Amino acid sequence: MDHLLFNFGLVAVFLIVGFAFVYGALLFGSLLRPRLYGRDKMRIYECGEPTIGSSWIRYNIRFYMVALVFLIFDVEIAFLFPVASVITWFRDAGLGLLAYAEIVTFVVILLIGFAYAWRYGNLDWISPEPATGKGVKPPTSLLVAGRAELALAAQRSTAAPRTAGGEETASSAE
Amino acid sequence: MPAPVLLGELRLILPELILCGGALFVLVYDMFQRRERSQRCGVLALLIVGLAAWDGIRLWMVPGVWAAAPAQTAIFWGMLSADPLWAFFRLLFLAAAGAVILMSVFSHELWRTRAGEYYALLLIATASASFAAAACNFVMLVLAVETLSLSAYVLAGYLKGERPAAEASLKYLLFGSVASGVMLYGLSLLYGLTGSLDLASLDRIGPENYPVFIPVLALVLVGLGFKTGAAPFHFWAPDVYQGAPTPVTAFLATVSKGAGFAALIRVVSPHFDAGSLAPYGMRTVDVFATPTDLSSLFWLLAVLSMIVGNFAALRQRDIKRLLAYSSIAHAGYLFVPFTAANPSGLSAVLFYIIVYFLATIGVFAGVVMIHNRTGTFEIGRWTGLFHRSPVIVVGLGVMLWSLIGLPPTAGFVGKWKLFFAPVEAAAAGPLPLFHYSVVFVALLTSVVSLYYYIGILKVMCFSGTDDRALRFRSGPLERACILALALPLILIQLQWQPLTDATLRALGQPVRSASAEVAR
Amino acid sequence: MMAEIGLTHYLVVAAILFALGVAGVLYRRNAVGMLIGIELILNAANVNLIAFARYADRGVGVPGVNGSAGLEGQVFAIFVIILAACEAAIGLAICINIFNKFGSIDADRADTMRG
Repeated sequence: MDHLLFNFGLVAVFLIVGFAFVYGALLFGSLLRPRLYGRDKMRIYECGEPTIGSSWIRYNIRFYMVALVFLIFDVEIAFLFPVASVITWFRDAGLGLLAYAEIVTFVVILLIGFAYAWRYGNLDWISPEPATGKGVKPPTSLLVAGRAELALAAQRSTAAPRTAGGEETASSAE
Repeated sequence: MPAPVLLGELRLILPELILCGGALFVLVYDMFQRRERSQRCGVLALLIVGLAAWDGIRLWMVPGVWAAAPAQTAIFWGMLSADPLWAFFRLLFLAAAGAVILMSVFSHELWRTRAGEYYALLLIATASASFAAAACNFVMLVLAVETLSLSAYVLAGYLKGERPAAEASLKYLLFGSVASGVMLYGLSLLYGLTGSLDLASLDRIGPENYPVFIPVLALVLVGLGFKTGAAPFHFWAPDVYQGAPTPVTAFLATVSKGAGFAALIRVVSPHFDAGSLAPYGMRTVDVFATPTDLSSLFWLLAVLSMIVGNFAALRQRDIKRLLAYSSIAHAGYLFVPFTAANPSGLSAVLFYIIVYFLATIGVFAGVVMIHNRTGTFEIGRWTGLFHRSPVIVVGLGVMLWSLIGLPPTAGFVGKWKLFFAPVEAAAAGPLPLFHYSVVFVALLTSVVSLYYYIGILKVMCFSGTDDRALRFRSGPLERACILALALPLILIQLQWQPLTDATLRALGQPVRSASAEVAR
Repeated sequence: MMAEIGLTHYLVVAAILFALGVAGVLYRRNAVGMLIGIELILNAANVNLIAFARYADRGVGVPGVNGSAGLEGQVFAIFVIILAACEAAIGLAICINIFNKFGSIDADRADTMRG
């Protein structure tokens, strides 16, 4: 119990030092610096470059597609890891081939899913006509924001000089 | 476990293996097909279901013991119980899935879509429904029910071009995920209480845990109540039934609901013989003369479902929406014997599930046929159907008659058995009011259901052939299908003993000989 | 004086997570927000399972536990993680579909069917 408390004490010390370091530096700076506000100073600082468009861009929908496919193989690890940790036990019991066959079956099923996504063009980054079919042109973006955020985004994009839309920004990143 | 034993156990799940392997095969097959030939996957899926059913029949023939002693039948380290109950539900689900696939092949709604994924998902959903009927461990139960749900979410939104379909899948997903999340939370607490995830471990609950146990089981019931479509967990049903493609709606109304009941039977049935679910609660405190065990939760589910389903169905104009409320009501009817918790009630549930499957599949087949020709789900547009295709109307009439539960059809026998279970319990037990009240509500709402089912028939038969009437004439194949589904409902009314024997066999109860029945 | 972290603490954390998840599902209109709430519910179950698995092994604090059940809960937790991932994947796919059809993933907007 003392051991546990001691561990939590260490965490607490780290927390206190961390907060003190950050806020101490901020406090120190605010005491020393001159207070001058201007239009240029209030602009978003992006490594010295002038900002382009709003930061509330819509992410390209293809990120989600890739994320979905990634998720499959991410989760696969969660299953394979426990198996990998006991497979020597199976080998010693003379069931190595059986365990191996099970793993192969599992991976093959996943690969079929992967091939399916590949076959219908869900992995192509540039796909003017993805698998939705029927000539429906899919929007290029998914807005992960409610109405309130949408209004906020519109506000900001009108406030900032808008040289290029958010979607173009996303696609120019390709 | 040595390899030969494992292979022997794999033999027992061969139908499900065929379904899963077939699903993968359909997917791969579709990858190498042109879009126009995609519909061939339906025929392929039908073959796969047929193959699985053939093996399912062989497994049904194997003499087995029921799960009342799960240790004897447990396979795969106590995950599944290879018993007649599983074989019974497996055959039922396979038959329903075959009918749904047949419907899908002929349904015009699905013509322009890629079919491989659709049929693969249907096959996987059927396999997982079958596993849900066999689970004797909560891990397996959750996995099976969830696989079924996840496939169903996608199937419900399969018509990607349509807004209602997208909406249906979203609502189904949100309600379903919350319900299963609540169920999982309940199961995690249950695991804490019993220290095991075996269904049999529910016996270990001591009296000191009763006050905790009923709320925890209520959480678990949320998930299963959602699957069975019972009120108050029914809010998804009308929208999903309406927005999903009609064959998928039929699948949800039969296989998905049936899997929910199968899982429920697995959870509570071992305690059915005592005439109460006493191990699931305490009988000592009778507040308002109701048992404070699981029976009262079932009472609530049954009464709410029957009332909500039947009364909300009264004002529906869309046939699929009406059938959604009808299926909620039928979930309520099926919960009636659970309040009584006697063995005859359990066989009544199995019996009524068969009858309900037949009638529901039949009605949805009729809906698909009429929609194919006319493109409408509006009941009001079915006027004068009788003059154009009397066979279809007669067939549909038999099915609706059976859903009401009126005498010349199997629905009457089924409902009689369902409602007789609480009457028996009332005669034997200490709580007659509790049992009679649920029967009273059941009979009353059945009368209400008469109104809207007859309403459909009235529109089809007696409304004139005005210019709003449908230009619909049935083909010989359609007539044959409808009659093939309607005839059994009549035949069961004439001779229901074989079916009763099948349910008793599934439950491992002694089968009364047919000759004794005739002599009686 | 701080007490030792025991089973109760985990259960309380799980209960809070569960309540937050349910509240998130009920009060969010954004479909992705609802999905996040569902993830919280599932993870509440996970915390419970792992905690019970750990403490059931030691036989601490849980009445009626036979004390040999540790691994089952952990395995169940892995499966729940998988389930959560599957639900997230299908949920996101359905959200994309909804956005394509309705131009928003506000769950309230998707209300074409009534009755």
